[in-house]
Amino acid sequence: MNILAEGIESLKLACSLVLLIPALGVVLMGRRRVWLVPVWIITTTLIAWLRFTGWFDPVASGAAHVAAGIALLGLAAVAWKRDELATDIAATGSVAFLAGWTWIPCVGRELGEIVNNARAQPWAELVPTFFYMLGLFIPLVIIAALEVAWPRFGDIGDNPKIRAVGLGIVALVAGLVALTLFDDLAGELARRSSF
Amino acid sequence: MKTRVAAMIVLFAGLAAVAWVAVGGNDNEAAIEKLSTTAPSTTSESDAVQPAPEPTAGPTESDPSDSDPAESDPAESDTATVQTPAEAPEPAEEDVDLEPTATADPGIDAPQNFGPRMDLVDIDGWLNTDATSIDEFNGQVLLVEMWTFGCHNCKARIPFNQSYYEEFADENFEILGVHAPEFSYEADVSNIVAAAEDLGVVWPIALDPEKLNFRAWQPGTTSYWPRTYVIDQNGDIRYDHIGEGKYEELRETIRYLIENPPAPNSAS
Repeated sequence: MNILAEGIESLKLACSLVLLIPALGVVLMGRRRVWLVPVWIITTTLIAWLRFTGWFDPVASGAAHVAAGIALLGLAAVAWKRDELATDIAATGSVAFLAGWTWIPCVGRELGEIVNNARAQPWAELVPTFFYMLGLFIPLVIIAALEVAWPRFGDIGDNPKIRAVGLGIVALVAGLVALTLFDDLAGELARRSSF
Repeated sequence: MKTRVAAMIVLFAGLAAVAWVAVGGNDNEAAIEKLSTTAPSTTSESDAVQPAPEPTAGPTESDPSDSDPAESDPAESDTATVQTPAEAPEPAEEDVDLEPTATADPGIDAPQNFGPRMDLVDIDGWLNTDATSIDEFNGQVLLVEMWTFGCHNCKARIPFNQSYYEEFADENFEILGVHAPEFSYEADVSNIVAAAEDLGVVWPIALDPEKLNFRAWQPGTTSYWPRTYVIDQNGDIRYDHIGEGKYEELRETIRYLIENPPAPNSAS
């Protein structure tokens, strides 16, 4: 339970913006497709866990950033044009992969337990990592639950303007990732919001 | 209908979890409060040494200059057991040629040796010190912390570091913060100086604006804030911890290394 609490607490950390900003983009872009939320959470969980264990630790070089950013822009454009669950899931999974890859966590007590133990006991830390991410992305869970429980709220998400905002966020993230400027955006947001 | 009910349950559970955390579900603040009530003061309290462990109490200061071996505080570790010196385990192999230090907690094993520390290269500047190289701290027990002033979890560690700094002020101990900014405003030296003053960071700070050392000291590409190392008198890493927590373990490691310096390394 403490790991879930720490995940929720980490919502207020500047380090988490790298994950939260693109998450907001894909959820807005995906409208009522609530399946995008578990796709996002599970993908970021797996990437983070693989990095903690040391099993996935490639260098995020400048060239990789440029390629990933351009690929993401293309994927977002396809998802926007086709407006299908499959393309939305592909875009969501890709953005989540990229966000989880570039994330440098600020580590509290509970996440510290995970990252300190993950190399020695990788499988034991998978579920705690999931609960940390569940806490961190609990706003997405609440939005998805609201969309299902309260259809009128879901109608807001159907508004093309809202979807355009989501696409805009994803495109902005993709562009900034390609230019290796995404951290600067997150930093400026952190500074202005007095984290 | 069932889907909506399930969604409502999820919704209320999510909101309840957020509310629970908002009203203090995370116990970190309580931990800091505990520290503030148990952190050792700089005045000697060795007269107040208790004969039995107090599981809820933190360490009390034991002045090595005037404390009797038999009076060493067994309450310094939550897991400490009361042992007479006769029951104490043999010193670690690397320490056998040294004078045993009576105040060492007999229940603590020698900290693992992770090998030689790395160097600090291309440091942009130093604060709170005249040093210009990490080598100038050789021969001391050195706590090295990778941090940045905007990092919540780094800030949470500062009160604990302050307590170590006070507790071991008269010992062969130093703290070195390697400031590796996450965001551009954290790289501004004037902001770092102001933050260090606000946060009470009085120990030496090495500026690592490009995060070269931050990454070099952390294997692979996954780097974390904060990350804490303790370097022994020979320049070997004896403690490595990511994130908050394990404060008492860190305190015991520092104390152990101060009281049980490793045999001089012929290579150093």
